[in-house]
Amino acid sequence: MSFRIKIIALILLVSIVPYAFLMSYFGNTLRQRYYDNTLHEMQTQLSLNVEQIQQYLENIKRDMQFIGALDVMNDIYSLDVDRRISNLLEQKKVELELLGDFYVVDKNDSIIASSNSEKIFQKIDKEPFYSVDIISNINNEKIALLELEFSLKNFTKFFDNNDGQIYYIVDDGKPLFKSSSFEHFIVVRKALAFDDKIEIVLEKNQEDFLNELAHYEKLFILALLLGAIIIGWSAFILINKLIRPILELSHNVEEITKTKDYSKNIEVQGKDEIAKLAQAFKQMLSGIVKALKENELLNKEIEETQKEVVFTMGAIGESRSKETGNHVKRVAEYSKLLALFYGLSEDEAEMLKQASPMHDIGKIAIPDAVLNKPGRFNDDERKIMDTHAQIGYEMLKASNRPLLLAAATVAYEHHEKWDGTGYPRKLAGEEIHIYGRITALADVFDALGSDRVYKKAWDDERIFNLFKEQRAQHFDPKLVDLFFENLDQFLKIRDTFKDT
Amino acid sequence: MKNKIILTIIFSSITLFGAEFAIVADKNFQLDSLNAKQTKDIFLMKRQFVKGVKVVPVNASATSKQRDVFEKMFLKMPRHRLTKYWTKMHFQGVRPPIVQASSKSIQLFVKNVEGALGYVPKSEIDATVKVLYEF
Repeated sequence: MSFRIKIIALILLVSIVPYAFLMSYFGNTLRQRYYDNTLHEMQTQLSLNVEQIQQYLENIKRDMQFIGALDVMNDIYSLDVDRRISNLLEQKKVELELLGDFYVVDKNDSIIASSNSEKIFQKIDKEPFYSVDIISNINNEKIALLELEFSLKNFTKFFDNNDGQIYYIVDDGKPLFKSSSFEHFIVVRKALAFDDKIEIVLEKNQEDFLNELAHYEKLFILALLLGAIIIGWSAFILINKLIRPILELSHNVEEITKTKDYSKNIEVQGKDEIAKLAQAFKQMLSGIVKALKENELLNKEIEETQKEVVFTMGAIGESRSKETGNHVKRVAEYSKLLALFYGLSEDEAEMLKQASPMHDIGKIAIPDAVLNKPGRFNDDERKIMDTHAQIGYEMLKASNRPLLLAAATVAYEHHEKWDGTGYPRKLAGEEIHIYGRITALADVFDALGSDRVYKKAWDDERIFNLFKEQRAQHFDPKLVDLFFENLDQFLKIRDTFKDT
Repeated sequence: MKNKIILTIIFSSITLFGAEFAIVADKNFQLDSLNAKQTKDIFLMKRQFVKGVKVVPVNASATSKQRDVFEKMFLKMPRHRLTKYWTKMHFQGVRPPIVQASSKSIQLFVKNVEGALGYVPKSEIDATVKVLYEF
């Protein structure tokens, strides 16, 4: 996991988690408040209804008291033969839309007048819902009771029942006039003031409540998600801005490690710790670059010195045998060219070029009398002369430098011949190192084309004829072929490094 | 229908023969007779006692013929004067006599209420009441 993702995850953890907790707490509070509000609203509604009902009852009572005090109640004395009281009660019943009846009951529990004419002169058989005394205004005697038989169903006209809510009455624990019921509901109840056994109950369908709430919940969740996205987004932007220098630094370091290009510039922005780190890294890098440059310079110096030493050594060998200095240079160039045509790498060809000048270094150990003797050598002199290959090898082999080792090989094997008739070891064919084979050809080609103390320079035709003759005898046939194929280039080198 | 015929007979007989109505009370009423002045005062609610006995006058209903005859022939006051009178009395805390609708109810009332007095046509008097005054 990258640094960026880690930081973002951390920020999200410390911001979104508390945010979510807080929001869900608010959500719950909201829900609870919504529920409380609904309940409160229902209670208010029910209270109003109950008040209405109680008002209605009060009105009936007051009406009864009023009726009980009327003059016409004196008709009780005449047993209401003119039905004036009954008519009045009937009228009142209609006016109040009453379910139930009024009765005027005398001291013997006999009904004198009633809004229900069938009951007149019968005995009262029910406990009245409400009763008032009738007192005659003639003699202030209590002459009868005005009683009310009342059905609780009267209350239902105050009930506002619909799909979402129902009212009903609970009388002493028994529900009455309950028109329907809900599976899940919220309920509030309130007892009537005059009789607390009678309760009015309001039930509301909880589905409706939940549906309404669900709408708010959707909005709430949407807001929550939106908030989370905004937090996440701003965290992302903020983090990007904060850790961008780190990422840039990290990216640069990675790049430098990969390409090894230590000169790459690192920009430093700001003054915070990251900038300090970048600055430190930059300084370190410039230190490395400086050290590298110095190192490179030293290496070059060493290499150059080495080359010069080798070349000079070769030149020393040459100078002793009075052969002109340019012989060494030409052999070097021919050798490199042949090596390249043969298919050696540029590095190896270059090394051969530097090593080949030393092919005759062994000659420094040959006595001047032999080395510079004009004319042909006798057998002893030839033997002494031929030791220069071995000597050159012995001089150089102790080194562990590749260049000097190559020079040792060249010195040792440049007089070997393809057919195995050369010296000092009479190697044949590919037993002879390629360096030896190449230098042999290059040396002979140049030697034949130059004046020597013991001979004049050969013309080209004679040289080429010799080469053709000696192909696969003295020389590697492949090298001879390559030589002839690219003859113009060799001749060009000979022209460039002419003896003066 | 029957009532109507009776009323017609009553109305015509009043004009012809005079004394066709009687003031009645319960059989057990302590007095046996009243004079015109006493009766008039009782029905105008000027007195509630006659010789120490409490009396309660009972009117016939306002729309009945016998009330009309009672006011014109006995009280000798037309309706508008009576209205004015009762309005005045109202402010002194005196209300007009209670009303019973029929002769039957008047006599039932008289029988059941101590000291109650009512007027009924002589022809409708039953055995439960006694006559105190005739006109």
